[in-house]
Amino acid sequence: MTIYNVYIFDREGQCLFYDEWFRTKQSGLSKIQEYKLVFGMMLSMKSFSERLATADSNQTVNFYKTSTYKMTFLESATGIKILINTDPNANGIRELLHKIYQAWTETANSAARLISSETEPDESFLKSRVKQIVTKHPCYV
Amino acid sequence: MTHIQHLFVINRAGSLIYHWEGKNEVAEIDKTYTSHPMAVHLEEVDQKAVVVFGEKEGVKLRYYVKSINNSPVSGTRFFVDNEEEPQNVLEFLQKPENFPVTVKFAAPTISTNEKIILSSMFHSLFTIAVQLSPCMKSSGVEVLETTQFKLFCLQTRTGVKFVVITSAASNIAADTLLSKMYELYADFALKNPFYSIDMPIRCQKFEEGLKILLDRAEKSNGALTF
Amino acid sequence: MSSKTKQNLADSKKMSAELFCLTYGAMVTEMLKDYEDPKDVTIQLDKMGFNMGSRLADDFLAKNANVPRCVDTRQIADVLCRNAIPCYLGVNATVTNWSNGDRDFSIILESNPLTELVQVPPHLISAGLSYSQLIAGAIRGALEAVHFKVFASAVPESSNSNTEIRIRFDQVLKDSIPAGEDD
Repeated sequence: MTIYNVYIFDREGQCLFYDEWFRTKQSGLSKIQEYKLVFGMMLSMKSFSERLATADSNQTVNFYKTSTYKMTFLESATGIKILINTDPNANGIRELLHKIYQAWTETANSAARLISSETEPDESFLKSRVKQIVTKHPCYV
Repeated sequence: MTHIQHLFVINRAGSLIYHWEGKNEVAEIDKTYTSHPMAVHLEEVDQKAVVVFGEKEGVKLRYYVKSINNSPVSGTRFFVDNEEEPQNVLEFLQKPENFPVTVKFAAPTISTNEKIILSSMFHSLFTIAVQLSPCMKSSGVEVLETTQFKLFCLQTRTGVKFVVITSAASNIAADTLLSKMYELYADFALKNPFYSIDMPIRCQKFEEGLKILLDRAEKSNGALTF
Repeated sequence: MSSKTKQNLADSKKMSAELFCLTYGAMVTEMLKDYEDPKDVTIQLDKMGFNMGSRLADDFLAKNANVPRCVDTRQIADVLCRNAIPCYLGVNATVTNWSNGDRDFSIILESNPLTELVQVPPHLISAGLSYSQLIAGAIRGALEAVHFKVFASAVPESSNSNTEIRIRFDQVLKDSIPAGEDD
């Protein structure tokens, strides 16, 4: 079991956060290009699923799986999107995404940010918090 | 209610060469609105008048307008009795003098054209998933799960993709189904000398084989293999 | 899976080997009349074989899910002799004559269902007719479907000897490998 990497995007597709742990293959693109591709693929997957499913209520894409990894999606009602790549058989990833989302909102809305909107979100603080959450997860080996 | 909703066979270039759709009842609902404005909010989506907001009394999101006062709607247009020129649905429903009005809504369906688009979309998603893999030697998308459906894909070494879409609640052994579809394709499409590779499959024997296979798959729901 | 393949083979309606041999013979002789040059007949047989092979490749993979993806010519030869040829020709085959840094090899068919009752006249052989080129073409077509480019030719048979298919590995067709299938 492995957790490879995590992407957090805002509503406009700006990558707010990225970190990786056991990633063994890079995409061959610059980071900026890769973020664009990941975000674009997620949007296409959503639109693909919406067109395909004719049942009536709204749907959310849970994950996709290949022979070697699984990408799990979480989208908040405000449009924040968190994507995480894990081992294809990993369990409990949805809960993990919720914890990361919580950590992100807490950091992004922290007191310092509220006083001055120009302060950049504390990247290293968020990084260490996400890392803490990820390493605690049973799938992180 | 059957579990298997769609089958697609996609060739190496991403074109759809075969599709099958389960015959689930398409929900329809008649509503009479006595006064303007209507409680549901309609907009034109993909050349249809579609419910985009205000799910109410059985009329759900993404349902489209199928007929107005029993006059069938094609696209967003329909004929009001004895008039020569068709009227636009959305404009018609904006006018208070046209009320009361009876509107038939229907659940969305997928046209063949949309299936062709979906196939090429999936083909590129499959390829991107390989590129974005965080580890070596990854295949493309083999499973895609949403709250509405499960999609399973088998890509053969020659590059043909077999895709099956089931309900989210299905427990059918999709890998067995896919490999048996591959066998049917090899037997009844490829061995037919009049079938040209990469072209749409129009073959009675293939259809018959598939029908038997699908029946067996549906009945096996929950079993590890069939 | 392989036991099932045998089962399928046993189940399938079998054609008498003699009728098959006669049908093939009738076709080749008819072609010799249509094409004046026996070399052209060899080319046509190769094309026909190629088309058969590119279709049978999928049939083979569909029914032998456990066959590994080949990474060298030794493995290709092994799969051909051990699985593919016994399955489709119903005869055993062996590999010999490795040369050119394992790029070239020969497959020897223990017996050849195409030539069981056939004696090819020497003047046609010397004019370039390769009677069993259909089999070589099928091997070429099947390998091309799994993205290996090879040259294959049936060594013209002298009577009483076993049929030899000479195969030369050319290259891996990188561009035609579908995404997610390359290593």
